[in-house]
Amino acid sequence: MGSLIIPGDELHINKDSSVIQGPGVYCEPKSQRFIPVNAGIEMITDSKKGQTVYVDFNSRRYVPALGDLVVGTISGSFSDSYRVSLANFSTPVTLSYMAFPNASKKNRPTLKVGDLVYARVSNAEKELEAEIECLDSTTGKDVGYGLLDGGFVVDISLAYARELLFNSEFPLLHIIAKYTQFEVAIGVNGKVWIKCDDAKSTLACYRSIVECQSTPVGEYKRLIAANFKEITNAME
Amino acid sequence: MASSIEIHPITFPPEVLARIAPDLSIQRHLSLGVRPCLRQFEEFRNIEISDGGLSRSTDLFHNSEENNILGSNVLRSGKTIVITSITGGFVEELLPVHGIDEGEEELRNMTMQHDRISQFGAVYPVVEVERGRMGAPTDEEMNLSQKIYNCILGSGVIPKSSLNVSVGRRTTNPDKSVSITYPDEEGPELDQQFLPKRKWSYVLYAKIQVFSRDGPLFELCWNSLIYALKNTKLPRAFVDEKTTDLKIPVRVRGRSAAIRETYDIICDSHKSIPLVLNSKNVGFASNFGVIDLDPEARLPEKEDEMQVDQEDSILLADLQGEAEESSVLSTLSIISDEKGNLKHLGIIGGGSKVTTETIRRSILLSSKRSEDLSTKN
Amino acid sequence: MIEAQVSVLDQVDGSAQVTCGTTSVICSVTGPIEPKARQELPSQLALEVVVRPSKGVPNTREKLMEDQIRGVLTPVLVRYLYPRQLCQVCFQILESGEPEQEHSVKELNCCINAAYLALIDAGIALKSSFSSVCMAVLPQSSEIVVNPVTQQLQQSNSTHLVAIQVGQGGQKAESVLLAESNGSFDQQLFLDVLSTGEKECIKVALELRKIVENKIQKDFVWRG
Repeated sequence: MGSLIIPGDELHINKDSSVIQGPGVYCEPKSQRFIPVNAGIEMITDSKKGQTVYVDFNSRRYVPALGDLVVGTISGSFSDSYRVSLANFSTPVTLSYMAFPNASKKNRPTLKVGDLVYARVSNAEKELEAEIECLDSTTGKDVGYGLLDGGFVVDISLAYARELLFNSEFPLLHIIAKYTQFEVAIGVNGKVWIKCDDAKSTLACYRSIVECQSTPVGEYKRLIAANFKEITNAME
Repeated sequence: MASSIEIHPITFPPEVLARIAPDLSIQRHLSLGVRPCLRQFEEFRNIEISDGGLSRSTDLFHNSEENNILGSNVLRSGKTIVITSITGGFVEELLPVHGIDEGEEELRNMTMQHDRISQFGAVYPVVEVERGRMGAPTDEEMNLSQKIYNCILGSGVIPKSSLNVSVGRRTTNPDKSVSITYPDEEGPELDQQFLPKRKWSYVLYAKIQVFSRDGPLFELCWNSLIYALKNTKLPRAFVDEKTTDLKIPVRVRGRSAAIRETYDIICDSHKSIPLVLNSKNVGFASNFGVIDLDPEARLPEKEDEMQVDQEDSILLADLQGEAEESSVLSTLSIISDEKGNLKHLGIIGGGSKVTTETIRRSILLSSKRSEDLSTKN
Repeated sequence: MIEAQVSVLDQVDGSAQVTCGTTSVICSVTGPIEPKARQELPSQLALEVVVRPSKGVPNTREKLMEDQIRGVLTPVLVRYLYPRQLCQVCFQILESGEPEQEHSVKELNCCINAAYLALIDAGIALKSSFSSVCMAVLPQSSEIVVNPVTQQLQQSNSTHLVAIQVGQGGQKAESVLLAESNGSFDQQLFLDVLSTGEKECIKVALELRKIVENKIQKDFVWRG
């Protein structure tokens, strides 16, 4: 685990080696100096190519980045694309009709305004409107993206969402799985879609996911157990 | 068949470049040692001032009955014209002329001393930057007005005492002729008893109109306002004898407060007294900008020329024009008198580093400028 | 000297409540979001600052404060990272702590510090940290009082606000972002105020840093 860093601090990088910059690091155009621009934990990894540096920080507003897996809401449809909202009040992103598996001029996707989709960010230039796609663009095959039918969306912070998605060891979902069956789709835009068989499990899942945001991992078991117990008792 | 595309470098005449890339244009100018307006770095624009003959006292047509402007100034700097006109009114103060008892008066004076700003009066300014269209005031106009108000109040140019109205009395003599007597003119002859028991004070408004805006305005507006205040003449005011005689019981407290003496305070159309300013608090404003020189924007120099060592940031006095305003982001605004007593100093960092040296230099320049401006009249 | 809570509001991206003495401000930051057409800047982040007074409706006094706050925030934001986006920064003064008709330094000071914490909380890119401090100079002794109380503010010959950019791990004052002085003073006094201000700002920056550290620990509590 790296050290804590805030804007105005120096990055602990090697001056000589080439640097691969990640989120939270900015290269000042005039001085060509790398500076941290967010407050978080400095993460540096050395590799053959050079040093990779990024700042791991928590926030609530999602800014699209290439390759991110996201949960979005269809907010409008045009002649050749959908408009998808990834966060309230943010600039919407585009989802082309051609970015679906087996798409053709005649074979149009059938999503409606208000539907949820799981997708991957395929283009994220800061000057342009970001684009997302519902297929693996290298193979053109369906890899599990697309419409999320039913279910429930939980809003969580971005760092927590990344942890849930990338850390398969993270105990939260494993513990919940002991109590109920569910389908889940985690978007790094801070949206977790979850679908259980019944409302009470959904509610317990929702509570558990939200509360675990501000709880140390060690207490997860107790907390989730309590949530499920409470819900079951309340129903009876 | 592959066709080759020829790329032509695009060249712009200076005025076009100044419009599309003000940043580059100003850097080029500065690297040559001159500003886009062709002034030296630390050179101010000359200003021309006059009172414009707008006010009651200088009105050429002598219809001072209708003219309600008490002081005025027309300031011209470059192509910008600032017209300030000062109008006024009376407000009746809650407190009577003399305190109900001495203890209370003393207490009031003591609290006054503890509160510096409450000893000063203010002008309520409204700045209008004319752009050829009507509408709600812009943010710039609101900011200017508020800033001028803050500075007038904070610098203490106008002591509250000079806004007190010393009320005269109009008497109808036995031979039907009318005469007006003022307490400070007639001396003890005028019986205190017959003077109104209420206290009035002048309240001043300033309307500052700006034509042909060309750069930051605060300093121009402020200087124009100061000149206008200097020639402001407050009209004398009196009440009619008939109303002073009325002995209506006054009860300030309680619901009966509604029944009050209704004095008609009337402005004297002939007599006026100059507004007394706190001359040691009068200062003039000047602004400065700090810009970092970008070595890459310099014109390529010939091989044999020596690289001239230039400072990387320069101080510009009296910003003017679109290019300077949009690319010089670090600014200093100073109100100072000729001795270097400061009344307001505002620095907006804006990206360039404002050093102590820069601050010293600009305070020096600003007091020199103030010396120059104070001689104009 | 300064008390603060971060992430106090649910519906915005970043928020902070800051109390300096008797003055208290809540600040919210939302962004980067989609701007209105008239706010949009083609190459950089647009900034919208709103100040709401503790009582009554906002007037020109608050407009001027908005302008001054914008002057502080504009150079520290990495604006070119968010072209055609908007960042909204709203302040609600909870306790003015000063005679509002005559002064605004204390509110302004509190607002600037609150804005720093709220921007950090929102994760908006900043070039460096910043902090601010307000001061008053007493009439007879020419003593510079940091964070004056109302009475000192009213007695004072001049009031000052200094906001600086803090670099090198919060150790060094890099440059002045805003200095706003009103009243009667001279060059030497101003330079004294400026250097006192820089020292005090660094102290404030260290306090703010601790608050940010706590916030980050809280953010990643599930790791522990």
